[in-house]
Amino acid sequence: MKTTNIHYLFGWEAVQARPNCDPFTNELREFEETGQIYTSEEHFKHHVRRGLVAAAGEINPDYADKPDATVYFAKADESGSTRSAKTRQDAFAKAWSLKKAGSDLPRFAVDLPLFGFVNSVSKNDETTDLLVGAARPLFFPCTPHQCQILGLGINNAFPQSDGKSSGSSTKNILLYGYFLALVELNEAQLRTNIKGHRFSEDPDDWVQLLALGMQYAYSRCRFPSVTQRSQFFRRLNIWRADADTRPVNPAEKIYSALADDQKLVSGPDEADTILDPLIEDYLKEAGAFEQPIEVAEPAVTA
Amino acid sequence: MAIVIRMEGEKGLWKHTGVPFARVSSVGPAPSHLVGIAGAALGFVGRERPPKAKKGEVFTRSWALPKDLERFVMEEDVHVGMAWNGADRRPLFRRHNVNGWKKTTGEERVRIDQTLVWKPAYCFAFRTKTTAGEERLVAALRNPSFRTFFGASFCPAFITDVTVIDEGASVEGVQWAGFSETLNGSVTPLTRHILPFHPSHGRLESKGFVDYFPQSPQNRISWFKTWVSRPVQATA
Repeated sequence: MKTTNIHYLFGWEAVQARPNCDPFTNELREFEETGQIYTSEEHFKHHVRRGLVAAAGEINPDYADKPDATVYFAKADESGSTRSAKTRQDAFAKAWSLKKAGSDLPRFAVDLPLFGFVNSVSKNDETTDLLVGAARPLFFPCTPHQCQILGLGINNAFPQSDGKSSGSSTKNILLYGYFLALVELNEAQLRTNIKGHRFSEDPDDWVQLLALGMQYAYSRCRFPSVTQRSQFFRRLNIWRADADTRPVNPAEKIYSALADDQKLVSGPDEADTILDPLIEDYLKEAGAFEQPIEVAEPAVTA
Repeated sequence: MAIVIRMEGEKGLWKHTGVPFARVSSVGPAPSHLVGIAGAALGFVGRERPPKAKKGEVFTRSWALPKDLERFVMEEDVHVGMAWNGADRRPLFRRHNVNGWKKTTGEERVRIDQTLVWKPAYCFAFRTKTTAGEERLVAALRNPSFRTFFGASFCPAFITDVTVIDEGASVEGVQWAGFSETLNGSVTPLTRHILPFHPSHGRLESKGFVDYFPQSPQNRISWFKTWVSRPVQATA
């Protein structure tokens, strides 16, 4: 029997934003030869985890009143303060009436079956057994076009509460970028990971959870920080792909199809006229319209 | 007969075990990594935690092989070969630093210095003892159950071609990696699983290097045994 995977082409746009920076240089992640901007896959998943919290509660009402005990790797609260592993495990134990969260976490947290366990394994780590995530971007989420970047220089725009300057290391900002992420949900891995899961044991629920989670992360559940909130959901296509299909990087494919005078895209209108037709071509070649999966409609739009 | 596959991906991270404070990728996988690729294609599930080492045992952070995979590797006496696929270019590396929390108990963030092998392409070979084992592995590699990776789960890898050839035949354009005790430049430490697992022996043997660009190019597959020894009886 043919093994199949679920592929999602997820598109969002960033307007005057800093979607993800190199922590050592504090600069946008850029392919310098082409001027394309990309994010790390972990950063993308970091965003989506916020959306999963809202989406899980809609699909399974048991999760609706447990925002602190829905995803495990929500490592910071709304004010940016870190939540330690113990804090998070205690929240799960309390919300789900567990004696100790420990190895039960993969049966309650919705991010673990999808995105796996991200910490290194420690001798003292009692949290969970090892889990490989079922979903991930197959390539760096990336703009299929050249971007304009505004240099800001290092500034003191964000003073600390004691009045002293924090010496912000902001160096540059992306003026406009239309990002594409080709995300794969491996069905065999998913079925393995969701056995006995409290959220659902039906793979279809998880397919929709991820679809809604991605949409919410870039619409109603955006991060509140100045540089993260100006990112907006644009499009989502979902389809079933055979396991022997060789996935093609959408950002590379579309960039190479652009004429030289069209490679720089500087706003949503240009994205509509220049990029959308090429994205449709990409989807056609990828077989997205042969075995499509209906996209769940968000309960509340952005 | 030999199963020859070609694989490629956007990036790979074969963490160099000799560089403790940064995640620097080697050129390509060691034999122990290829066992994992075969296991993912075959759909063997393993979720066993690395056991805590007791007195006199070797602590290991490497993942346990699923029992089914351990059995398959031993019963089929699996041998592997590897090559950089593309004689016209050398491997490229790309910096990709990330910001993360790596401590499970602490609260501080840790910036991680990473260097990835960029757009890698490889040719790998597998040899099994039985025809049945070969057929099973070929079918799995053509229709893999789980996604395969190049060393880390953020580095998805794609199998682009699977063929079966005579073991002595050369593969056009491919120069197979060899073994070296010393190497200059970017190297891949040669790691192999010690099977069956026993805590007295650890999981991996690391000895010498895989030489992806040997001085004397060879078109015939250089086979690396994937298991190296049966452990002696553990002392009490």
